[in-house]
Amino acid sequence: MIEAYLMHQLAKKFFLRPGVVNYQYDYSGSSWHLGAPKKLDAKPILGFPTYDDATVVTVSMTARF
Amino acid sequence: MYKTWGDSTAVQVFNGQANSLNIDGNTAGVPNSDILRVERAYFTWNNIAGLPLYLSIGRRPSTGGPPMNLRKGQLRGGTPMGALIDFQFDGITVGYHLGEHSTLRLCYGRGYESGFGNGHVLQQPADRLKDADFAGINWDIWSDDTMLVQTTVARAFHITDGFNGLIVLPTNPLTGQPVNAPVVMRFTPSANLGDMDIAGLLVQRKDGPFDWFVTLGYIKSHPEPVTTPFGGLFSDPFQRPTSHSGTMYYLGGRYTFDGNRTMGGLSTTTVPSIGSILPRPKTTSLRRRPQPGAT
Repeated sequence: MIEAYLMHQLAKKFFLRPGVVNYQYDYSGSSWHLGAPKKLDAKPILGFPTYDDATVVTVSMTARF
Repeated sequence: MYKTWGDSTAVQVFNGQANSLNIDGNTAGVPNSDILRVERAYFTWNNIAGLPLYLSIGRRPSTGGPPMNLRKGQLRGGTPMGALIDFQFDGITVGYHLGEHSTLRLCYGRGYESGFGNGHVLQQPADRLKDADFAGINWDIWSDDTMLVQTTVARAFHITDGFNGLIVLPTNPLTGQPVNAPVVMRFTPSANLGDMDIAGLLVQRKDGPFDWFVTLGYIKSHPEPVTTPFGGLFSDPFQRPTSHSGTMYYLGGRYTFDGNRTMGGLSTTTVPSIGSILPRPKTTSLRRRPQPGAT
């Protein structure tokens, strides 16, 4: 996983935060304790969706009070 | 309130990831609905018997711990290392201030309550589950305005094959066949799978405008010879679980500029997988539990 972000204070209590996170998986079962981790090209096919590459792009605006 | 834009269904179709499960540990942390939820509520009794000793009980401040708060530009939001524990739970902390810059805490928490609400009196005693609890240490070895050195060490006992929660399954996990109707079911665990150790060390510093951190983490499983149709502890269905261990690191930095108005950050983490297979010395017969289901 690699993440990059920028956080800018637009006003005294208002913030803008663009960010990007990229996940790269080699094995199944990330975050789970059930089942043996498997290489993503292993057979049989996994029962639930397992991503090998995912990118999340966010733009957050935060007001603090 | 944490909701999807344009949706308040509150129960999502399971997408294979934990963000589509609603369980006690993440109800406030995953998209849900327009329902207002309480993430933490606890009291703290300070200076017990005139000592630098305190007792804190309730729904714990266990999310947003260091260094995860840096990426949001926030103050420390939770007690344990955020790279290891970022999960709501009900628990107790006994803390002792060893000095101005060091606090040692003994922590306990419940992950799964097997009694109330699970209909266990309707089950045979042998089929009733044990509570899943954890106990551990959260030690701020050094904490001041410019540096935090922290360790979190804990063991979870009687980990279950899931948590109580609501779910919509798109496919039958046993057969792989699609479930044609979006049925909301109350998922409940069916087995205690074993114990798990976690340990970590965090070094976080602020050097002028530059904040940086290094986190190391370790995990080791201690499975019981139990399997389910979904698998055992890090083992496939109907295979004998063996003990596994794994490590991870998480490091990053954040630079503040523009008169403290702008911060730029970069972080990365790698989990080299749960790899080392350590045979469990105890060998007993393999127990199989029925499929987890609705109650």
